[in-house]
Amino acid sequence: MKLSLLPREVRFFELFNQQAAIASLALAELSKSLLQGQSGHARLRELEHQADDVAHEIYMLTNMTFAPPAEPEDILSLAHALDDVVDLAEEVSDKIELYNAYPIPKPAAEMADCLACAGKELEQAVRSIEDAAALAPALLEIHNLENRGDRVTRDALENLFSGGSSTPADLIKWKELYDLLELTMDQCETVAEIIETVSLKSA
Amino acid sequence: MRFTPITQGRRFFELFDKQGGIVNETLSELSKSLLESKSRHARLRDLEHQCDDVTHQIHNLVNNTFATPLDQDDILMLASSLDDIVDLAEETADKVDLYRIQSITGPAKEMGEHLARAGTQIAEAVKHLQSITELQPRRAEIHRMENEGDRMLRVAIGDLFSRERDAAELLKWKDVYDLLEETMDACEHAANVMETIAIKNA
Repeated sequence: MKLSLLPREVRFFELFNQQAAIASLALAELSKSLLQGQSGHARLRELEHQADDVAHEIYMLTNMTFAPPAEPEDILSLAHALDDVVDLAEEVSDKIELYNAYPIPKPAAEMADCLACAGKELEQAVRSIEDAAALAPALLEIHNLENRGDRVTRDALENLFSGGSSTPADLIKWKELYDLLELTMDQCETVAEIIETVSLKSA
Repeated sequence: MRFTPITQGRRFFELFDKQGGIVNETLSELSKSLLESKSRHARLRDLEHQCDDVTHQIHNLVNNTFATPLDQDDILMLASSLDDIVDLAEETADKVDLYRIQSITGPAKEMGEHLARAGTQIAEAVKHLQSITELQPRRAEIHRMENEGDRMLRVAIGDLFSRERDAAELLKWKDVYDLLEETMDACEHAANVMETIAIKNA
């Protein structure tokens, strides 16, 4: 399918690029903060609001547009899934602050680094949604990062439970935080899968 | 099959009214049980079953009605969002029972009272699904309860982690606080669904 450059179609792509850029920025901010031993929550909350606004605009535009550039369900599920990435990143930083979960252990910062890399790939993937050749490596890299992240959190959980040095409070806090970090990464993979479906359909 | 759209239309509003009443009663029972440091779990389970029945009736009515008074998706979404509140309240009571929690903390009692207040507002709000002016103040009040509850629980959880050294107590209370928060979030979600419906049908 060739896409004609109708103003509304262009607007959809603009909004998705914007949303992916916010997701990438949120993951980069999370990674930077955790490396510095901070939650970064104020900044992430701000980005979460921005992402909400863009998602809302995409919903409105879908309702108003007679022939959107992809199926409305796909558009909405992509917007929703990208929004979830930002929500989860914000939740990680919120919980770190709430639980006073300091100092931040190394594996958490490492996992956030994987997330920041995945964010960059997501941004690239959304930009290449109509260009299968550019899209494939970005999607592949997200799967690789998900695998790497899985190993990081598994090792971290193993240490947490077997070290004998964790207090009950640490156990509960970090069990939940590692789970959330992993969920965030899984959500990046979900976005990648949706992008792949959309691009196959429009090929 | 004969269609009687007017009667069936009214039937939807009756069922929502009933569901709102059950939500209200459930949250008020939960609040009382927390204040008494007793779980009224048997009663809450009973209410949860009643609510399931009404939700089921709404689903059946949607399937059998040719012209529903509101958008079908909206009807189902509202029914399930009200049902979620009751499910979560029941789960909270269930956990208090299961964990053999003997004495309820101050913040949990306060949160129960906030939930009871939100329940009253929901019972009123379901009566005004077609009037945004009537609905708006109820939604605002629920939103306020949610904000206050959120603040309270954040302090309670922070406090729990810094003070409690007993692993079982930590786990129990973390879980109960999370459930109370989810129950309140479900109230806000239902209020948002009602607002969307009222705006669409204005």
